[in-house]
Amino acid sequence: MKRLISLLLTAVVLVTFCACAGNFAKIDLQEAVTIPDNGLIEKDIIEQIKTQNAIATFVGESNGIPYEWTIFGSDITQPKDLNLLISVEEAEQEANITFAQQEAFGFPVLLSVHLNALWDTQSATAYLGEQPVASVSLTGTDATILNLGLEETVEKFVVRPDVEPEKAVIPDVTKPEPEESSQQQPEKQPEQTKQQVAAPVDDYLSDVKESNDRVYSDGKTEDDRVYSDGKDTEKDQYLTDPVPEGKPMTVEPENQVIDKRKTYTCTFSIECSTILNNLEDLDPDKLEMVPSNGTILAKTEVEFYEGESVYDVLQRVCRENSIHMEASWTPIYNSSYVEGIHNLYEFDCGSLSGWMYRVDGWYPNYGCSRYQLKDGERVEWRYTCDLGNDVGGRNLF
Amino acid sequence: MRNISAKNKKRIVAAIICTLLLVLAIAAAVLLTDKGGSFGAPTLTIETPQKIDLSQTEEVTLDMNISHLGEALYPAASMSIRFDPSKLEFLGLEEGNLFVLDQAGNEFGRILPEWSVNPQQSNKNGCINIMYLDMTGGKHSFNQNLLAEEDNVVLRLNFRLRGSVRPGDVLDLVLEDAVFAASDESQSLAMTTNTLRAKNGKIVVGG
Repeated sequence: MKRLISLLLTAVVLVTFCACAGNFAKIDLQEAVTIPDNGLIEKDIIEQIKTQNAIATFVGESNGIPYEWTIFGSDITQPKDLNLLISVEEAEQEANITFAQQEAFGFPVLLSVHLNALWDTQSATAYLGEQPVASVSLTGTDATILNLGLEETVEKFVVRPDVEPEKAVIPDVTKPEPEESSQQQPEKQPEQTKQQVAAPVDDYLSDVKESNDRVYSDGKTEDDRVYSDGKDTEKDQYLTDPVPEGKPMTVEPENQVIDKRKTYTCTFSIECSTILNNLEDLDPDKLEMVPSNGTILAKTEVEFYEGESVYDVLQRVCRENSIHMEASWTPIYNSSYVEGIHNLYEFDCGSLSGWMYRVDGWYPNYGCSRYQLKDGERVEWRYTCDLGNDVGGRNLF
Repeated sequence: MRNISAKNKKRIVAAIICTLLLVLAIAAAVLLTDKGGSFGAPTLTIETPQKIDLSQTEEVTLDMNISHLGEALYPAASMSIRFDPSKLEFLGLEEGNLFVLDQAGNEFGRILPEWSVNPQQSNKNGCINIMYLDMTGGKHSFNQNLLAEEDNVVLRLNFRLRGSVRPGDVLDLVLEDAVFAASDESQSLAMTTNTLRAKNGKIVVGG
């Protein structure tokens, strides 16, 4: 009898233990899961997310800053232990994020960090040192939420808002300045102009300057453009393939000097005739945006200042002609990216559609903020429905 | 006789211990297999959908679930959801599977509630205000007994992605306010009084 009782007791304890263990290993994926103190999310749980094709949320807090991870079961390839602990330090217009996870996640995960401050910008970039490594999507109305899509991880990211670098501008002194500014600093103007003239020279141009092939704009010597010798074989720091031989080298926006004393002209046009051949792929709501002949802006002669980029002139042309244009500064390419013109956006006419620009018949393989215009050039903005193949361009996306 | 009674005592003690352990085991199993549904506070959730592929999808539907309600009758409900109208166009609502009572005479049936919403206004100010009001004096109320065992979809939000959406974008849908008003006000559920919890959703665009 004693044996029977002890057997029964053992069985009951075992059953209870198994039931508990089985249930503890599984979590309720419909609820947000709090990240444990050691940050470790075990492989079994990742496996569960994958098996259930669930969308799991893990929440934590660092220095009073809440954060959450979103993991999609469909993204998980190889389940593994993950450490989701992070440390966040918020500074003015900057957030430092340090990860406990040391190795790559192995599949895409989304990290959302709820900052205390509201950033006055639409996008941001994560930097490793000074090198941009990932775009950050910003949301939130009262305070900014940083959303980082991650797959690889590094020890520490710095996230900063995307702000287009300021360009040095040499004013045209022959034109009267607004009274207020001339009254405030009348005697400082010559000095200020001098400082602006001595703006930093871009890395690409400095070498050329030594060989006297290029003299940068100082308002005194003749400006000349640098062309590629075709010898570069590797991408530059902004992920740009080598510029083909004989084509203009990039001029980084932060190094541009706009001289308002010198004006030139170029021709500008904007058209989307390729859409007319692909109407079946067009978002029906966008049909009314497509002109019957595909021309949004017919070939027009426009003035521009020395040192301005294709993007600078596009902005002005669209503003002066009341044409809608939306672009976003993209640090990873060190250029503005034109998303939509005349309310026609990328992907509006299929997954391979978007805007491209061509100068004198060549589609530059770098962003329009890095192309410094020269007198008499012909700029065409064209909508492609096939990664450029339908407008005579290579695959430049 | 003495021996028998000692044996009996042991048996009784063993039986009691076994029964207790069994009860404990059953209770533990029930508690742990329960998805937290009947033990937590009522929670209104905007379900995050699977990642969106821009080349495949233009419209997105998000379910709004409620975990469970209290004992009362709830003849009115409202909720406000903030979204980014420059990236999303709110198209309207789709029916969920959460019923309200249909009390006709002495018969009790169930019908789907008719939610009120103005998509045009929502797209103007980036806030979707949704309301249900039973005008029959409580005959068409929400009630705990009408909840399904799981998957209680209050309603579904239908959006179209605007052209400005880019791969890698994350679009938040934030529950700013929600109320399930009971006939007895003290039993009402509201976010402002922490009697109703909220879980926000997001649309993640694949990169």
